[in-house]
Amino acid sequence: MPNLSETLGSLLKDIANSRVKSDLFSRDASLEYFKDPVLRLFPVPRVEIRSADLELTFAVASARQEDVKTSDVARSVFSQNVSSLRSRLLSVPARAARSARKAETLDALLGGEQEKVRAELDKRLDAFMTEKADALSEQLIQDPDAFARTLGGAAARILRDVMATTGVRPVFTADLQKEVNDRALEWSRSTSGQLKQALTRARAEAFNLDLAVTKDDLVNLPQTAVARVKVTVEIQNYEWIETEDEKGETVNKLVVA
Amino acid sequence: MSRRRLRRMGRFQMDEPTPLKLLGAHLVRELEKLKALGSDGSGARAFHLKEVEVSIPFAAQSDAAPAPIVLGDEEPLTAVEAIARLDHLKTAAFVEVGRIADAPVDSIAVLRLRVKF
Repeated sequence: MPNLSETLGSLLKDIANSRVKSDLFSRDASLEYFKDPVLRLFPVPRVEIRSADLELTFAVASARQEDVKTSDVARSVFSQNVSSLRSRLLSVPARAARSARKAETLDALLGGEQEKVRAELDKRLDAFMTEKADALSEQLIQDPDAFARTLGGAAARILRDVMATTGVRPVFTADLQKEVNDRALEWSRSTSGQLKQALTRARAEAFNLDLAVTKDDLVNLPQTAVARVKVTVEIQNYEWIETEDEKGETVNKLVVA
Repeated sequence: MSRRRLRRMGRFQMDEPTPLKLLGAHLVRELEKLKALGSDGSGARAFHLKEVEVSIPFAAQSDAAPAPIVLGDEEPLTAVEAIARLDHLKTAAFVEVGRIADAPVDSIAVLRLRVKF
């Protein structure tokens, strides 16, 4: 059974195509008018469709909801946002050694090893979240602050492990852990909203209506059971123009009239 | 249409009532697909969707008379505004024609959605 976009799309394309047929008729008529000494003095008839209103009645034959797995949507959201988590974590201030006077961001401390560490952090953070997506996705939706506590601990461990593979050994203090927790909290709150939106979109994508649109389907239905859609469209008119491409060659192009 | 045919049409119907938030989001998505169909690159087939009003009846889960739900009554909403407004809808109801035709008239109301493009 058809859905709404297919049904209306087919009708609207027919309206646009009817103007094409009308123009072809006008072309033939203009040649006839040209041949006749009297008709030549008359304007050639031509139909111009600028806009159209359409009303369609239909009934919802069935509504179907396919399963949407929260953890699948969460895996995708985690992977899309892992680089933003990594950037936040590497913006944490740290000292290169206990004796160092000045703290710098972890990213700045990495010097020439930035790219390698960024890639490794992305991989490890993504693996942590996607492997436990079933449990973590529910926690991120229900309680992003609790999720942030889980993430803060794991992120600090991952940071320490990855940093250990480099020539830079920042000092991991309680202050640094607090900064990591704060970054995890910011990220969790923002990503929780994104996950909820992505789930709404995925559920809408997985929901479908089959419509009954034929006369036979609708003829004896009570009016209270009939759905309606009213559509207002502008018919877009195009014309050919001659223009130059980037090489200076003449090309023909369709533009809105 | 006969009751038998109605039942046949509703053979895949959801046993559970449909969250109207989901129904509305689906309708907005369909309208966005329709808008995309209007600009398929072929000049002869182009149309520009300006405004759409969809009215879909629903039957409440109980016999209590539900209020109509109208979004974009005074001014049509953009697709983004419509989705945001739909997000607050908590109602779930039966939307298949088989269910509505069998429902008491007082338990039927309409979800009306006006969207501009």
